[in-house]
This record gives sequence, C-alpha cells and structure tokens, in this order.
Amino acid sequence: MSAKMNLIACLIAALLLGCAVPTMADEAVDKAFDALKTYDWGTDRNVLKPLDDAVAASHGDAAARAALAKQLAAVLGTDATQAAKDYACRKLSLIASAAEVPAIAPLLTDDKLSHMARYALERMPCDEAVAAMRDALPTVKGRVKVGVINSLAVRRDAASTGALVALLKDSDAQVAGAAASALGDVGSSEAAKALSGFVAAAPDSLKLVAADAYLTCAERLVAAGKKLEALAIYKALNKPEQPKHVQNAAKRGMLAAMSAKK
Amino acid sequence: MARANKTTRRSFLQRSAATAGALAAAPYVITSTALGAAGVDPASERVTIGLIGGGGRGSGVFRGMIGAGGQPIAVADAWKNRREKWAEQIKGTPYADFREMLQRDDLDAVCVATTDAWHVHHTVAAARAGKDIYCEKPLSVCIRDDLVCRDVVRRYDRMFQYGTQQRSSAHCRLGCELVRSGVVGEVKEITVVAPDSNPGGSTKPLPIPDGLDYDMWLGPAPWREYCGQSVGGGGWWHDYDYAIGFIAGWGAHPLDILVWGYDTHKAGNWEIEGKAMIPTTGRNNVVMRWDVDFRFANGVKMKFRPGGDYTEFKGDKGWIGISRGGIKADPPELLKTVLGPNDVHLQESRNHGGNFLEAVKTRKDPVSNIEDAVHSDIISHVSDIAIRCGRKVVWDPVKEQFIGDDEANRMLSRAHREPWKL
Repeated sequence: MSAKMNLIACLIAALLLGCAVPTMADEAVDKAFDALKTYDWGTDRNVLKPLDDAVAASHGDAAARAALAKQLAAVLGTDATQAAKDYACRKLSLIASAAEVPAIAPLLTDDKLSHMARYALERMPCDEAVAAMRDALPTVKGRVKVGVINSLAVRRDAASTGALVALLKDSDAQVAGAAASALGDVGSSEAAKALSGFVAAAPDSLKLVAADAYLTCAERLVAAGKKLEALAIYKALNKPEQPKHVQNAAKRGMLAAMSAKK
Repeated sequence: MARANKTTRRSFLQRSAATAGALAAAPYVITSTALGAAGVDPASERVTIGLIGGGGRGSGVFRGMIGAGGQPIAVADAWKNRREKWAEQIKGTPYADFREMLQRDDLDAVCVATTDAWHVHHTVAAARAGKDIYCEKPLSVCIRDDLVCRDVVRRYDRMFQYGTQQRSSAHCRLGCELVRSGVVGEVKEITVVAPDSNPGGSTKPLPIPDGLDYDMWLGPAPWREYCGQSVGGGGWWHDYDYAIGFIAGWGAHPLDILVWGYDTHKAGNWEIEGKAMIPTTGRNNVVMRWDVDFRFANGVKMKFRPGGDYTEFKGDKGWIGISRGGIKADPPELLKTVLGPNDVHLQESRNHGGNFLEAVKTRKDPVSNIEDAVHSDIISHVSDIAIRCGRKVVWDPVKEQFIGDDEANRMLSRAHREPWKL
C-alpha cells in the first residue's frame, strides 16, 4: 500500500472511530502552549498568536472552548512565569467556565496574581466564579482583600452581604470603605440597613464613601421597585451634616424616585 | 466661584498675589487679575482649578483653562518633578496623591489628563468629592467604566466637559447643525476616519525613574515590570493595559463629531464587523489598520477606518465632511444654507476651557457633555470588541450590551487592580 493510501486509510479509520484528526491549527496551538510554559514579558508575542486565534475561533464550539480553557487553566498550577499566568488569566476571562474556577481560585490569595485571578473571575458569568471570590474573602488581607471586595461589588453579590457588613468595622479603613461601597452596589434592603448605621458612624475619612454607597444603594432600590426604602435613604442624606453636593444628590434622587415608574 | 470658604480663598489669593510680579513672564501664572482687574472676574468669583496629570497634554489644557480665567491652585501627579514644577509656577500645592487634593474645600474643578485607564477613576473621585471635571479623551478602557462614570457624574450633577475641543470650532458646529437640520437629506451613509495606532514600545525592564510613583502611575491597570511606559504619551497610548489605542484615543474626535451630528444611539441595534492587525512584537498591542463596518437597524451604514481626521455624513441630497481643519460638501452650496429659527442650533462655544468654566458658574452643561462622551467612546469600544471577537456582533444601544453574546459581553468590563474601584 502506498503512503498516500496509508494516509487515506488512517483518515477513514479515524473518522469511523470518531477521533479528531490533528490539523495544522491544532499543532500550532500545541506549539503555542509549549511556548507559554517559558513565556515572559518581552518574549515575542507571536509565539502565542495561535492561542489568541484559537480562543476567538472557539465561538460556538463548546468542546473546543472547553479544551482550550482546560489547557490554559493547567498553566496556572505550574511554575510558569507571572507573565504566562497573566496571559492565561486574560484568555480565561473570555472563555472559562465553572470547570476552571478551581484552578483560578488559588491565585486570589497570591499578592502578585490576585488581580489577574479577579480579571478572569469577575468576567465569568457562572455563580462558581463569584463563590470563589466570596470564599477567598476571609483568607486575604490588605490591598488584596480590597480587590476581592471590589470584584464582589462589580458582581453585586448579595450572598456576601453578611461578610461585607462585618467588614464595615474592619480596622483597615480601605477595607471598611470598600465593604461599604460594595454594599451600595449590592443595593438590597439588608445592605441599606447596614449602610444606614455606617453613614452615621463612619470616621471622617469615610464619610463621603459612606454617603456615596448609600446613594448608590438607593438607586438600586429604586430600580428594584422599592421606592419607599429609597426615599428613606434620600431623606436621611438630605441633612445639613452632609456636604452640599450630597444633599443635592439626595434631593434629586428623591424626585427621581417619586417619578419612577416601578 | 465661592462654594468654599471665601475668606480662606481670598487669603490664599492674597498670598499668591504677592508673588505675581515675579511670575509675570509666564502667561499662565497668577497675575494682578486674580484679585479682579478691569473686565476680569475677581478671584472670589473665579473657578479654582486643579490639575490631575501634568504631562504635555494636561499642561496644555490647564494653561488654556487658566488663560480662560480659571484660578489654578493645585496639581497632582505621580511624577514628583512635574507636580512640583507646576506648583511652583502657579504658587499652588503639589500632591502625590490626587485623593488628598480632592479633599480641598476651596477647589471647584479639576482637569484630568492622565492615562486613559485612569480617566474615569479620577473623574468619578472628583464627582464624589463635589468637583466639576474637564476630562481628556478618550473616556475609558472599557464600557462598564463609561457607564459608571455617567452615573456618578449625573448622581452629583457635576459639570463635565469632554476634551473633544472640535466642538468649540465654528465650522464643526455648523456642519453638525446642517446635518441635523436635514440639509443633506436623510442620512444614509457615514464615514469616520481617525489616525492609526503605532506598533513598537520597549519590553526591556528598566529601573523605575527617581521621582516616579510607579504604583500610582499604574493605578487600576495591571502590574508589570517598568519598561519605560510612563515616559511621554507615546509610551502608553498603544498599550492595551492603559488605553485601547487611537481607535479611541484619536477616534474620539471624529466619533464625537459623528454623535454631535447624528444620534447613533437612536438608530436601533448596531451590527458590527471588523478586522485589524494587532502587533505581536514590542509592547504595543492595540488594534491597527482597523476596518470596521456598522449597519444600524434603521438601514444607515457606517465605515470606520484609520487615516486622517474626518467625519462624513452622506444623505440623499448630498454630503458634508468635517475635520478639525475644515469642512466641505457636495454640492458645495450645501454649506451656504442659512438655518432658520426652526432648524437645529447646537450649543455655541469658542473656547473649550472657557466653555467649561462658564458651565461651572452657570450650572448648565458645557458643549461636550458626559452623555455624548459615553456614546462616542462606546463606538470605539464596540469596534475594538468586534475586531477582537473576529465575527459580527450586535449592540443594543438602549440596553448598552451585546445581544445574545456572552463572550462579547465579557469584554465590557475589566477588573481594576487593587485597591482601585469605581
């Protein structure tokens, strides 16, 4: 049998067996994954271009997407460089699913990679991504903790309310301020209740943060149809002890709430 | 302006005025007019301004605002030499941390001219502190930031002027008034052209320069080793972590003329397809040679390409083309149309900085308001996202998200590096 016939026979066998036939694109992706192992800032990014292309091309192909995400996530557990893991997180932010969360989550506690872990998790629509950040909250400190709180705020994670309320009393003002702001973004009745107390008790350095969080919360409540609760917030902030621009924001909010359709 | 303690401000200005003579050679320093000279508001009625980002562009805009009557009192910059040099010139206060500057009760407004990744953060912080904002373009590095910015600016009813100074050019206003008044007939096709991005950018790690707070310079952008990106605008304009390139950085100007002349956000959903080249060597990694086609649900088509600076509106009666340098039409007589009282008349501004200062005093929106800033910046971003997706995407300009496209919607936001948050 000629070589040509051999190849055809192999292809037919592969098709019959349901096996994927390696293509040039697959080989390029494999090569790029090899390059990613030693990739660092300053390396010609051309070596990773097949990965860029594969991620974009995986739209609508769940299997290809899952396979790519799995390989990218695997990089996070290796001794690859910060730049390589940075790259992997950026790509995972576009295609990762719940399956990759366990590989990304440990990075949340890493000072150097926590941001990139959030870069991925914050964009992932699955609940598991938010849960990973929520679960990391008690284990992180300082700036990293602020970052995790901020990402929970972006996701408006109501399940974090209890933890955020507790953090309002944190000795680190940045943490307390971030928690207040996040509660504003959550925008629930429970968050409003906690912020009510915080607005009254916040140290001077956090007065504006507290007021802004409370105003944000009111806007969320109006959007949720809870006009009366929102009006109570605006009334509370329209007081002489608040700066003029906050009082004015409260007045405008009050009018907007009263004219809201819901 | 006198939101804050007039006595304090007057005292400050009197102290400053004592040095005015020594500074008379520079056109942007405090002069005797600070205390009120003929034809000039007394300082207590003038808008006090601070600068966030005293590089080349920020300095130019700030000088323009001072020339238009703004009273400079403070400068914040991650570069020690920049803030101290400016502070010395204006006899004001330098700040390493802009948040400290924003705590001043005697500060009315700020000029934001930092990296694009910082713009919204500085704007939002200023709004929350009750300051008005002149913000350089483009607005942000992602759409979510645009939307938060709009919410906060409106929450506090801040005056916001976008740094799209073509709106203060008479010929740009005329062109947009003519288009909005139907002089070209019903608009069918639009062409927008903006200067292209650049490849390059060093990736070689370097020592952080003396006097640079690199962490503050990076702000919400991802960390990486310092490699010269903070030196000059060209060091970061084309790096995706700090900007999205000239598809927004320069595109903001002709796209701003587009939204001034035509309501893209009222044209129904947008189908967008685009392609481009993204450099794979050097640090620069934003889209270049982009080629983006829009088709609005109302049938209007738009092409967005690199090139010069140009916005053309083509209707069934002819076309009008507008650039920073001039205006043209076919037939040329379209430009001689005399608009009547029932035609569209847009806000007139002859000095972009001055128009902003006037808005601060009158509390009426300046010519480049936050809504239009968000609209034009969104066009840059959806173009960039369509290119990066490599396929057609559909944008809902009312809901401000992509339709049925989880992957594209993921690109609407970027996590900010800790501790920064909007």
